[in-house]
Amino acid sequence: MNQLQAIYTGIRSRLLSDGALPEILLDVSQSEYKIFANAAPGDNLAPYIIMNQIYGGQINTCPVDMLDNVVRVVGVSTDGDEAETLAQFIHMALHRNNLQMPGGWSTYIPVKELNGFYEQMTIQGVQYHAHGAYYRIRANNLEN
Amino acid sequence: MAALDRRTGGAHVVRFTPQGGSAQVITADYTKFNDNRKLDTVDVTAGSETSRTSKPTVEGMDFSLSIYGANQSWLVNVLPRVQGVLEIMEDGIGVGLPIVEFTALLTDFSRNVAFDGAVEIEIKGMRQGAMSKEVGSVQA
Repeated sequence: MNQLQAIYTGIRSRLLSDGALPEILLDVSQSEYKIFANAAPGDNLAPYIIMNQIYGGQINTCPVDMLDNVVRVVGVSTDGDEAETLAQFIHMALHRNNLQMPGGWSTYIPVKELNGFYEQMTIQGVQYHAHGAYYRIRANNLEN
Repeated sequence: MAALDRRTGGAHVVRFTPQGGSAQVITADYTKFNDNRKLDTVDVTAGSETSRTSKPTVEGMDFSLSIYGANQSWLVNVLPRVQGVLEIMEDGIGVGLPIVEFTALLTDFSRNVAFDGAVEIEIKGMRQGAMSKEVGSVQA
């Protein structure tokens, strides 16, 4: 598993384990919560949470492998208030919390929220709201 | 064009053995190592001369190591006043690889704690007496 997938897995696990996980994210037909990395599958309807790597990677300042990444995590919905609710949930779940990641990675500093993010898009006549923030992930790996 | 043999700290290993203790690699989580040798001199310029002349006296060496604080169990062995053997192996551990070695007296232990950053620790010390393995030595 590469580093980015480990980060995505850690964020997804953290969101899923939060007791305040909004039920609106549940895809009843798939029995799964709609939290995606990179892009939502084409047949998925909002609302959902999506996370994208913005910048960062290995920082190479010491013999231990260390990551310093910024990932944008946003809630997408056709309802502006619903998108804001998702953004608040993301904030509460991630900001100043640690991630459990596979492959030996672990956050050595809790996740920190950076800039907020909001974007409105109109796609095929439907208005979508993307609301969330940029999150800084700093992790090290003591297995390699 | 860059020199092909340009050196880096990628394989650098420093090992410390406190008196009465066991050897411990102290660079597993290091960010920077520095050592410095300096020869003291006295000015012996004659009163009638206009150009300075110096006479060499004693030579000393000090060093510093910066690491990330990670609750390393050996930190209790690198506090000020501890003496031990310091081995510097700039190409790593292995037969035939270079090594310098000397008895070190540890003098400084400082921590830098940032709210939104890793804890960084700096350890400083100085050589006691002569080098026990001078530059040019290799590991057996």
